[in-house]
Formats: sequence, structure tokens, C-alpha cells
Amino acid sequence: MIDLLQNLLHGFAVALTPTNLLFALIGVFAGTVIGALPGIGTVVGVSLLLPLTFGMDPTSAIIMLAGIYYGAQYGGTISSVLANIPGESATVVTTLDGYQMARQGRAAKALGIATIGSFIAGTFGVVMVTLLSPLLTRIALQFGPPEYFALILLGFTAISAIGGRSPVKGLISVTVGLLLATVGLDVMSGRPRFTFGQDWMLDGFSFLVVAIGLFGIGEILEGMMTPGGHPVMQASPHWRDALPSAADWVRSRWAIVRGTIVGFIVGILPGAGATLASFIAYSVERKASKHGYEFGKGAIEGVAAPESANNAASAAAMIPLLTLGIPGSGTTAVLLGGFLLWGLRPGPLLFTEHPDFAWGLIASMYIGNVMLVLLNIFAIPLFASALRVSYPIQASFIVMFAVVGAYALSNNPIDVLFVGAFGLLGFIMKRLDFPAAGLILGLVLGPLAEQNLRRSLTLSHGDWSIFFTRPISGALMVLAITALLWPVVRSQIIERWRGGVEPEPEPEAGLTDGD
Amino acid sequence: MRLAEYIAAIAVAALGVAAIGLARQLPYRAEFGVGPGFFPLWLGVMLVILSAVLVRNIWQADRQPAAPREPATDEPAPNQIIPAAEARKPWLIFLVSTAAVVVLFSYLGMVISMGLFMLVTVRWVAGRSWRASLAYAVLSPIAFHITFGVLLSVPLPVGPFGF
Repeated sequence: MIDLLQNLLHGFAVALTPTNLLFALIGVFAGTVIGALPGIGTVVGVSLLLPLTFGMDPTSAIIMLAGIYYGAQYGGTISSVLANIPGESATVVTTLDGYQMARQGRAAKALGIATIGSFIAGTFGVVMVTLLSPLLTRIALQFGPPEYFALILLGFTAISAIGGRSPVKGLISVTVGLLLATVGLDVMSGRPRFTFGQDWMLDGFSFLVVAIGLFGIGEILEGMMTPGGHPVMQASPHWRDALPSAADWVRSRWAIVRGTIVGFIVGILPGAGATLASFIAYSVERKASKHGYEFGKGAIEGVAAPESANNAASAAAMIPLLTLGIPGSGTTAVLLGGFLLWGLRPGPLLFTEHPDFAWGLIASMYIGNVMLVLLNIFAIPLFASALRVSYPIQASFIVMFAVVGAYALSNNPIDVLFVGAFGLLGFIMKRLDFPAAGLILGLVLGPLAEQNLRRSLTLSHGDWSIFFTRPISGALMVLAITALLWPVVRSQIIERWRGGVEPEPEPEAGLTDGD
Repeated sequence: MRLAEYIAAIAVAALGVAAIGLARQLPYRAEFGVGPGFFPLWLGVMLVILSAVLVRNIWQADRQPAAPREPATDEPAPNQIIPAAEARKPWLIFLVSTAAVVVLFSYLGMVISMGLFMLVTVRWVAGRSWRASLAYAVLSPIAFHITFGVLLSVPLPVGPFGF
């Protein structure tokens, strides 16, 4: 425990340097604006801004990007409440009661309780990250290639099982991502694969080019399908109105507690993410609340619970990322790619080899949460004004951000062309309900999955039982196979139970692209 | 409209077949364990199987009685790739402008390509006045140049006129 406190204090010493404080502030501010703008989720913001951090010290870069990550969760609420447009997939459910509250003239109250709930949940999440990360790290140190392969497989299957409405489409996205990851030089044998004799293909597909295209351009082309883009905001709140009354607080406090717990548990699971957490928290609260009948008509608990849940989940998703190197969501997958580009390998050794980075990041999350609560309460009118810019103009700027970001990666015109091509692919995937986040996860985790699979088989001289005979990898493999088969078994059970009648469509909760 | 889904499933199957064909040209085995052809080969097989499952799912969904029509909204229908009539023209202008800026960015430079892109999208997609469109076309590239090129030292392409 004393070690933990010492490490955390060291982290604060890193995060509280003037440079890192400035980057944290820039991150949370940019994140809130990105979250507030409709159609640009966290994953888009982090993908677009990641190339601009290459010249920076990795610790400052991750502090800024983490600020964007959780800042966007706060910001997403603003457009959900004021304009009935979720700025972020994790705030979709907030529109149900948040916008109703705005129509009743209680927009600032909705934003205020969301901010306070987010602060409590976010801080609880970071405390748990602090406590659980060293513990999980000790377990992860016992991992060899078979355990890592089994864990990555578990991450993929969990995502495919809950990603969007069709598990098959989720699996196809992940598999295409894995296949794209095999393009380029094979690191184990030194042979080029699928390069068609082109030298520029030896490096393979940059995950950032793919992410910027799929999320940045793809989302925008989709948003532009609605005539005139999205509607503009409906209300103009004042910060003083944001502070909750005693009655509001009494109604919301347990919703915040329940939302925080649900969000944390869901967020720590690989592939679950903040969106699923917010949906589950909303339905739990609807059942638990004494005012369940008011849900959907402007119940303050209907804002407090999902908003707490999505922030707790965002913090929780950092635990598998930092300790195991396994992203829990689309955004943390992009952050994982950033770690690799900066030459850092997330996983158990991160805490011992790069303590400044790991503990500096955790400490910055405490500081970021305090910055965000102040920023969101006092700057609500400012962020609201960003929503008055019409959607086609916002979209034009996002396209230019994407193009400049792609070019900045390596000054290569081909990267810009690929961003355009993957943008079109992202648009088609979105329209046909293939989760683009699955493709990114496949692309980022593909090399790790393949290398650990091949190393394991080299260790066992080609004997596949190595994955089942070691206790940790055996347990993880069983979990992975169960997760893979569960959606199929479940649909068969439901079909039998209903006497062959088609089961009701599942809710659209799951790993969506904005997580 | 399930046609787009069927086409997507066929495209996935074609990708799987191509992956199998190309992976067969790589060694499947290594001295100990598996070689560089193993992983892509089985990914190709998975894609072919998954596309077959997808086709079956789409076909089964097609056989279900159609759901009652929901009241018309501005939102595009599921699986719709081309927007409805009233949004089609601005969407196509935006799509073509985006394609043009992606292709021309490295050759015309950031300032000119962004200026032209903003002029077209603000004037004909956002429907703003010529004055506002020209203001966006001139001021946005300058703001980008100062923010990215000067303050963040991001390398930006230079066009034939030296900016």
C-alpha cells in the first residue's frame, strides 16, 4: 500500500509539471468540444489528434489524449441534452430524459447532474484503476505467449458477441481487420506478405490511416445523409442553473452510485465499453427507481445513472489496457496503437519500465476529472454555442482535420488517398451495420495475436494442447469459446422457447464506434 | 432493401477466397510450429464461412413478414447507401469535394486545396452566401496553417505557388 501511494505521488509529480498540466487542460477542453459536436465521438477525436502528438514526449501526449478521451464523455452530454443529438454513442441513452428535461426548461439541471455524476463516477473509476492495476499487473507477469493469445481471443469474441445487432457482422469486421494486419513484412520469418512487390506496402496498413478514414470521414459521410445535417440546438442554458437543488440531489444520489458500479463492472470487461454500460445502467435505474414511470419524460435519474456509468466505464477500460495491453473499447484500441507508435508496450512491464508514463497518466486522470467538473459547470454556455455552427460546416472542418492528420503521419500522399478509401468503406460499413471498431481492434491486435499464437506453437513444437493444458490460458480459452458460441446458442434457445417465432431484435447497445 | 447486404456478403467471400489463394503461396509450416501462410489462410477460410452464415441470415430475415411502416423521418432507412432525394445533391457534392481534396491535397498544397474545398462545401452544401463562403475559404486555411504548420510544426504540403 505504501508502494502504491509512493508511486501515485510520483505520478502526481509528473502530471503536475506546468507542461503536463497545460496538455491535460488542452486535452479535456478539446475532448469536451469534440464530444459536444454531433457525429464526432471520442474515437474520432483521438484518431484525428494522435498523429499531431508524434513530436511530443509520450507522457505529455498520453496525458492530452486521455484528457480528450474522458473529456468527450462529458461533452457528449451537452448535445444530447440541448439538441437531442448524441455527440457520442455512450450518451445516446441520455437523450431520452435529458432532452425532455431541456424541453421543460431544465436543461442546465440535466447538464449539472450529469457533470456531478460523471465526476463522482470518474473519480471512483480512477481510484479503482490505482488500486487494481498493480494487482492485475502481478497476475499478468505470469502470462506467456499462450495466455496472451487466449486473452486476445477472449477480447475479440466478447466484442463480436455484443458488437451491434449482428454477431456475424461483428466477427467479419474483426476478421477483416486481422487480415489487413497480415499485410507487410512478417516479423517472424522476414518474408513480405500481400505486398505485390511494392516497397511502400512493406510497412503494412497504418492503423491510424484506417482509423481516421473509417471513423473521421466515414462518420461524416453518414451524418451528411440527413437533409441539412443535424438540427441545431434548442436551448441556451446559464451555468448558475446547473447546480442541482436538494430535491434533485436526493433523487439522483443512488442513481449515481448504481450507475457508477454498473459502469465500472461493464467497463472493465474487454469489448464492453461505455455505450453498453450506459444502456445497462439506464435499465437498472428504471427498475430500481421509485419514479420509474417518469423515465423517458424527463426523470433526472435517467440522466444521472447513464452519465455516471459511461464515465466509470471509460476509466475502467484503462485497466485492461494498461495492465494487459488489451483494449476494452474502440478508443482504447486507438490509444494502444498510439502506445506502440511511441515505442511503449502496454502490459505488466509498463509499470516497472516506464513508471513516469503509467503513474503520470493515472495521476492526470484525477486532475483531469477536477478540471472537467469546473470546465463543464462554468463553460456550458460556451460549449452550447459550438452547436450553433451548422453541421455541413462542422463536417468540412472534420474532413480537413482528417486529411491534415493523415498527411502528418509520414508526409506520404498515399496515406491521404487511403484515408479517403477507408472513409468510403467506413460509410458503407456504418450503413450496413458492420462495426468499424471491430476492424480497428483486429488491425491493432492482429500482429500481437499472430505472434503469440506462433510463439506458443513454437514452444510446444506444434502441439495445440498448449492452449488448454496451462491453467490460465485454459480458463481463458474456455471463456473465449463460450463467448463465441453464446450468441448462437442464445438465439437457438429463444427461438425454441418462442416456438419458432423470430426473437425480438436486440437493443442497439454494444461496442459501437464511439466507445 | 437487402441487395446491398447480399453484395457485401459476396465481397467478404471474395476477399476470403483471395486471401486463401495468396496465403497458399506462403509456407504453411515453419521448422517448429506454423509459418507465415498459416494465419492468413485460416482467416480467409473464416471469411468464406462467415459470409455464408451472413447470406443465410439475410435470406431468413427476408422471409419474415415485413414490419409495419414507421412514420417518415429525416433519418435514412437501414441499409440505405444513397440518401433520399432531398439530401442527395448536397451529399454528392460533399462526397465529390472530399474525394477531390483527398486526391489534390498533396499536389495543390494545403492552403489552395482547403480553400477550394471550403468554398464549395460552405456555398453549395451549407447554402451560405458568397461572402460567407469566401470568408471561410480564405480564413480557414490561414487558421490551419498557423495552428498546425507554425504552432505545432506539422509538415504541410506546399502547392505550385509556394504556399
